[in-house]
Amino acid sequence: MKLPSLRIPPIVEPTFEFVMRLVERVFGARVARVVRRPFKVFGGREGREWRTVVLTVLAVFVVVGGIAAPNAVSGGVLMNYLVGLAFTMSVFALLALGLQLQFGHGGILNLGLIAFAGLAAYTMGIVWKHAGQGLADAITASPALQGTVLLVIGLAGAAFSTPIVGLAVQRLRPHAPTRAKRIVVVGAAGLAGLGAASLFLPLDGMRARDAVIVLGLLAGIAAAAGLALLFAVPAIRLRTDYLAIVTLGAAELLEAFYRNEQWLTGGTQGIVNLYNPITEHALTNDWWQNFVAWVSPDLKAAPAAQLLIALLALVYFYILFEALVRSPWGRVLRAVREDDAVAAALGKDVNRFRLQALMLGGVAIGAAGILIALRPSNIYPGYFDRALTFSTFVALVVGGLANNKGVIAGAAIVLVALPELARNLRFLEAYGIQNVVGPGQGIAAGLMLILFMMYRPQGLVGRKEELQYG
Amino acid sequence: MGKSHLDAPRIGPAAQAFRGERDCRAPRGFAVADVSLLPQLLVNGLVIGSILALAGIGLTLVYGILKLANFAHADLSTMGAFLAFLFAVPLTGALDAWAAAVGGALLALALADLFLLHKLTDGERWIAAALGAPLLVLGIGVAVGGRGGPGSSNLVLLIATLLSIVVSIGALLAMDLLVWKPLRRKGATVLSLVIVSVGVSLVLRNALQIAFGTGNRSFDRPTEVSPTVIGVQISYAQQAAFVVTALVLVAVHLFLSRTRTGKAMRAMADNLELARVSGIDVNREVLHVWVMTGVLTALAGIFLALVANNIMNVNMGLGLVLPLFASVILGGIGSPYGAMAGGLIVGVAMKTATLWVGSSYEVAAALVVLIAVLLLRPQGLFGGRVA
Repeated sequence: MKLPSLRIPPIVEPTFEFVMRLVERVFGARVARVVRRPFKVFGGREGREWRTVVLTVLAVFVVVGGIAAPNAVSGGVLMNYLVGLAFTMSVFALLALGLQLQFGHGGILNLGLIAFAGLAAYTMGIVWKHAGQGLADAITASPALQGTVLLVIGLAGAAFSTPIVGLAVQRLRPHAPTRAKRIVVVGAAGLAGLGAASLFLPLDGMRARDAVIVLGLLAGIAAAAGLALLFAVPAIRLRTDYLAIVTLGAAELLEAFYRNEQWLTGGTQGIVNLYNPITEHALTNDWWQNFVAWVSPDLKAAPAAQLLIALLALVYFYILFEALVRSPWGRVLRAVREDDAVAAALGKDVNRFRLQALMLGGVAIGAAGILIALRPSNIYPGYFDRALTFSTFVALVVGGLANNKGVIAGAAIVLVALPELARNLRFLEAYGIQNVVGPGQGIAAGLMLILFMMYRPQGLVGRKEELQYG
Repeated sequence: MGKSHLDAPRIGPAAQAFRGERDCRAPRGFAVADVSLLPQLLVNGLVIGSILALAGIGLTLVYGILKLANFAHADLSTMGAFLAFLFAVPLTGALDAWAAAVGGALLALALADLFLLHKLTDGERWIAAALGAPLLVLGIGVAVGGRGGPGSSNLVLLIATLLSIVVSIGALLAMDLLVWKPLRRKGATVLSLVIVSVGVSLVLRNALQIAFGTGNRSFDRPTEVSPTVIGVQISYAQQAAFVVTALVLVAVHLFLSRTRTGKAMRAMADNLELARVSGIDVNREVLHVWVMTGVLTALAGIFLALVANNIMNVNMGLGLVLPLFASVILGGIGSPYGAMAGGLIVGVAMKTATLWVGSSYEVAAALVVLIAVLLLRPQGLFGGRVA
């Protein structure tokens, strides 16, 4: 029995071709060519994949919003609901994007991915809980401390802007002399660093608190990268299945740590009343308030700001990772995934590439973890449990492996549509079946994983030729 | 013994330690450990280790033969425990006669087809038998054992255990037919099998959660004071777990070393291609492996609930995943004897580790054992294969 492969029926392309043929008939071939030109971007394989992703996301939001619409009291309520869903989707897409680099491109089956998110969030939370306002006051009081903090923030700003500036320069002036490009990149990154630091001037009151959270965030991301190093010591040389077991166990251990070390992490009560700079600024910034009111009078300023930040983070890491996997580094990484012996024979340091993929992916996952914690401004161990690892995995497989676009569609389906649709299982409670929402979602996710693996292993937009399994 | 049974169940410090209620950490960090607890922890470790050994045999065979690192294996144990609970709840009215009749008919159909009709495929026959046998046993069981509270008498518990085993086998065979067999035919890699098994585990655990809820369920056994043997408290459930596991392990040993099927299994775990070439009907033996796995995992799950003061929980399998894999890899993948030894070692390591760290961190010991084995002797103690 050979398993048939499911095809997504082509709808968009024939329609587009049909319209273009009409245009050609009516206005002539020249006009048709001009009209076609902007649509070239959406042509070919890339375009097809983007269309699938965009259509999936739209379909998810239309269906979920349509189901919620009759219950919403007003358009504003519905809008805020959808903004919340979009935030969830962006954050989980970021989570899955990190996993995509680790597993989809690097072949590292990281079943402990939630450890990265949890560690980053908890590091930030611990910095706030144990240093917090005290550190903010100390910063306000001491000019030397202010200088140090501004230096750290400036350096971080420069470091995070460097790859984006570099990519932009390479895209706009690919043939300029390397030295000139280098000077431009360093200069622009320096400016970005100065800009980032100047945002925090003068460093007192609210800005000092912001600075503490930013320091915590940097510490969290560093911790996520450090965790990758720690994982790598025993695990990086191992076979995929061993690696999965070790990472799963390590994540479990970390979760036990969050739950039990009350003095540090607050135990099961978690860390509450985290200072959330996004909310604070959204509620005090007139410009943002006006902008949100202009979009819609009902829209709430804080969730919209969180959505904006989450989207920016997703776009940042997407651009970065997309450039990475298209670069020679990405090609070597895929070679390592396909056959590490061959890559090693060609003189590549296999474990180094794996470690880099694990660290970079871990940074994205850590950033997602921080966003997960910042939305409700508290951190509980339950946010970062095994269930989230598994659903992120399902999202990755459903979206498609080895294609960064897939994570967006996967997150929309598995982490937005499934939970929202599962809520409608409540009607079963009338028949005496209690507690059906969460498990119903789990069963649907599990079935989705099994069925996709069996009948469409490349997922929605995955690369069939890059499949790691037959 | 003057206490009435209405008193709260008395459990000793060791039982508390076993259930994670007692913090065995020494007051001053790592420096001093209360060594007087050691014998008790050793016993607890051996008990949990023997449960790991039971479940591990199935896991190691499946891992070795089918290249399936089954992350759903621990959830199968949970399922076994809950099935026993389900069957221990008495049936009402005349249902037992109907169950016996329908079950008998299905079983008769399967048997008749096997010997006379030859109309059904192997899989269909198995399903008919798997549906029929538990119904038949259930009917007869209720007729013989009577309808007490759930698990109140040993006989009811025994019948429930048998039923749970039979249904577990049926579920495993159905799973093989629906999921693993098509994937095998497709030539799925280790990686895709791991991912699918994660999906299976999700489905299983959540289905159990819908059926039985997230809270604790328990066999309604009378509370007993654990007898003390040379200063060590060993509950009757622990004794039973120990004895039954020992008997089962001996039986498994005899089965693997004396019978044709057992030898075929070992040959397949050793080298699948060689086994196939030498005339072993691999597809058939795979079914036998699943049958054996079903028996052992269900038993392991039931004993896991029994030694934890009869309490079972949908998530109790989760904590077993890492220790199970640790013991299987320690013993060498594909080696059933390795899984037995590995299970005992990992169990003892986990429990003795609570001398130094809190009992919530006992899984750390399993992780340490696992990492140490992977770094120092990846083929395991008993020399499984490393791909």
